[in-house]
Amino acid sequence: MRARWRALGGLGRISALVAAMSAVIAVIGPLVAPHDPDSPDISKIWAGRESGHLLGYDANGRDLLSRLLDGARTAMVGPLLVVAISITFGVLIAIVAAWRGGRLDGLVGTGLDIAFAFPGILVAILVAAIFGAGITAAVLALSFAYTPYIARVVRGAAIQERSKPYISALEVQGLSSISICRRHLIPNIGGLIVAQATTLFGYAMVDLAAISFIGLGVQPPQADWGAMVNENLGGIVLGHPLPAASCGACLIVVVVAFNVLGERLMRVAESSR
Amino acid sequence: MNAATHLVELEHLIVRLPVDGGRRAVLRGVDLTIGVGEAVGLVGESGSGKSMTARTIDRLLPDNAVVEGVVRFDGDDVWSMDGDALRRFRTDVAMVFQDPRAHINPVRRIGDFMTEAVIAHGLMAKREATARAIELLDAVRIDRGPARMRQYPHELSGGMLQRVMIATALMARPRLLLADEPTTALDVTTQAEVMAILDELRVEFGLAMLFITHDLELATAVCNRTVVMYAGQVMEIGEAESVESNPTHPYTIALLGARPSIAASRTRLDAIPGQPMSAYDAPDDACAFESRCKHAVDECRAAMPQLVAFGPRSVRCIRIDSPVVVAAHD
Amino acid sequence: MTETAGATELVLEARNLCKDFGAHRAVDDVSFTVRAGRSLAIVGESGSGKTTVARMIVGLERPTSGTITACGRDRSRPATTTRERRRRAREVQIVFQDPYTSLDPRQTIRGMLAEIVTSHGGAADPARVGRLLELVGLDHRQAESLPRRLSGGQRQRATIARALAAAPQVMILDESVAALDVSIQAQILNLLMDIRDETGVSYVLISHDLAVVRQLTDDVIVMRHGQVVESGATGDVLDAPAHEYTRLLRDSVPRRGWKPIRKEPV
Repeated sequence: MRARWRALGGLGRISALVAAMSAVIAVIGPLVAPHDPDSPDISKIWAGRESGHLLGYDANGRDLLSRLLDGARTAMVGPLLVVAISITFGVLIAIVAAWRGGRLDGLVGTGLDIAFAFPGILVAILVAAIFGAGITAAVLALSFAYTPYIARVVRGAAIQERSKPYISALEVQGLSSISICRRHLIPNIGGLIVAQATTLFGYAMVDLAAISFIGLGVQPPQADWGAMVNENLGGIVLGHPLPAASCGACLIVVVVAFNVLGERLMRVAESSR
Repeated sequence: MNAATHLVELEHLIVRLPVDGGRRAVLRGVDLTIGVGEAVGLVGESGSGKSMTARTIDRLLPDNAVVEGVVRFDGDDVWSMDGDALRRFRTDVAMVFQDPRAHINPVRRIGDFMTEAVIAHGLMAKREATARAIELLDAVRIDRGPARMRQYPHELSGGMLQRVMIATALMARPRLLLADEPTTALDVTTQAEVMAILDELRVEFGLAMLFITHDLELATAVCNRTVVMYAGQVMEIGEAESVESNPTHPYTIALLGARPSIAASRTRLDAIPGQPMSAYDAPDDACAFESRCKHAVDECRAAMPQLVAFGPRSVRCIRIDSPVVVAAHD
Repeated sequence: MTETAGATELVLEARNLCKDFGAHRAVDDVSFTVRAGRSLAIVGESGSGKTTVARMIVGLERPTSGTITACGRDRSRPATTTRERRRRAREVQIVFQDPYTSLDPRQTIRGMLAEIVTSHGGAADPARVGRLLELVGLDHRQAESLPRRLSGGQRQRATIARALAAAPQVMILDESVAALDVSIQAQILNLLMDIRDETGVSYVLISHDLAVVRQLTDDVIVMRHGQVVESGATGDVLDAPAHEYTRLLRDSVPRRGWKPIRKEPV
């Protein structure tokens, strides 16, 4: 574990810390918010900093800091669910295809190539158009779009691992396929899966923020960084860029942290193979 | 033979590489010579330093390697060469590796691969290079040369590709060929063929060769002299057939005794206990082979034995102290 | 060797084995038998089909046609039940060539053996694991190590222990000493002979190395381009080969007084 930490490199370690911190904020954010993130005060619209309100107020007179802290959770829970679903199904499909090989693998490969053609956001918009806007629909749509990506990457590594003689030796020992996959095949590509999940989190965060930005994801008054950029967009031309900029900045910092961390984890995973 | 007539001279060669944070010696004082047109076999197991020796001669070490001692080619210090001298050296010395597919560009045709180096160095024009390539393909007994030139590496078998590598190595008329386990990855019948070709060409072109292998009997078949290496040092040097029939160093004897024989099976093989010692684990103040040696005595641990010459044979072992013992071993 | 009626049973038999990969026939009508207490070598170079035969015997490939019988039971088609799979595992086991990819890099040797011993029935029996380690000459420290801390020879000992955990009647050695240094190869060959003396296991040695074949086996079949070109007692075949390919193989092995031979251009 310590060797892995060292192997991340300076940038990797900083990213890991930022990612960890953002996870902490996502959990405790709403609890430590100094003010109610949802109560608007018309008299305070676009108001600047004052005592007790470190970042001032947003387009609806709500305390900006509180809304950022509250929005963190929403901004990160969605991607977490997307990652959980697409990793679960993606890995499952990949392992089954890699293990059985032959025609099944060929079919899966073709299926993945077709599914790959659907960009996440367009699928989400389509789903919103059919089922109505909302975070649930957005999460499911993105999960559907990301699963083939995970499946393809994991399938490649699984095929390589499966061809190693230690796997064959376990088969000849009479162990069941499920046993071998669960106890040997998956753990040995685990580093790669974790790395992919981390990077995917970053991408999902961007996509969900964008979906909320255009109004098809998180609905008001629920705080969410992506939606909040939209809410506060007007302030930029009015000389109040801080609200929109701070939401954008939060998104950028967290997404970059997860992307860089994922990248470094991928490098560590590949070098140990 | 006086010093000036050796093509290659290695004098107390020490090479250190960064390993696990520290600097460790992978060659620990190698002394050997290769005469003009002479074939020298370099025999050893893993960690013996045989590959490293060839790479050091050819200046193929990573930048962070530290080299002490001297490598001389035709009287000149190889490691202080630059400019024209270095360019000449690169055409004078050619290397053939174990896995031909790892050293050839899969998306270029054979003909391009064979001629690009000599053309790039301005040694030959394209037409001359192509003619020479076809001539050499014939010399390595690959027929339909012009057609082969247009083929891609994946269309040739391992054995054929290795012959192409040998032909390529000969394009610039080198004076020394470094062959690092050139046949280890080949089938045994292919190995015999490739070795026969190599031997033939070497004699025909008056080429000197350093032939690296783990197979002492193979080295004996194609080399004039054999050098046995262990843990980054030379343990025994002698005329090839003499070393095989009359090994003197306990390690050489053990190596020959450990090998099964195609002529008969034995109740038990004379296995050497323990693992081959890596150069960088070896002690500087004792014999590296002592812990596995059945003839070891306390003195073996007291100091590093020196390489002592007994006429044409040199041995690094304190238990061998006279030419009589050398001659008596049978 | 004369056979006393009923004294030596057939532990392994292949009849008219064939394997096609698409249009390419990798194994063409191969037959052989292995009797209890005797060891067989399958000799050939690359493309001979010998590895495919080995894989078919242990069930990693499915024969296109022909039969394989081990310990009296047919195994020409894949096992359908867990019980059948486990039973076959206790009949024939395999040791592969590359010690570096033959072990799960995340398991200690002891952990690996414990898992295998458990899978063959009964609780995790530390005594049995201990006996296996002793049999292959691995000490406590090596047993607690991950594969990456062990040398090639030590890893190969671990894979031999794994194969022995099933107490098989037949052990396929697929070029199992080819990747080892000469001095280590000798240790492992001695170990294999000791194990055979102690357990009575029969070896099927897949190899291109005729000296190892001579040392370890009683009978041999020589394969080329998927077919058996010669078979017989190892000593007889190597001393006086009948087929010209066998002669060529034998004459290609470096030994005292040997010089490489030349052939016609390709």
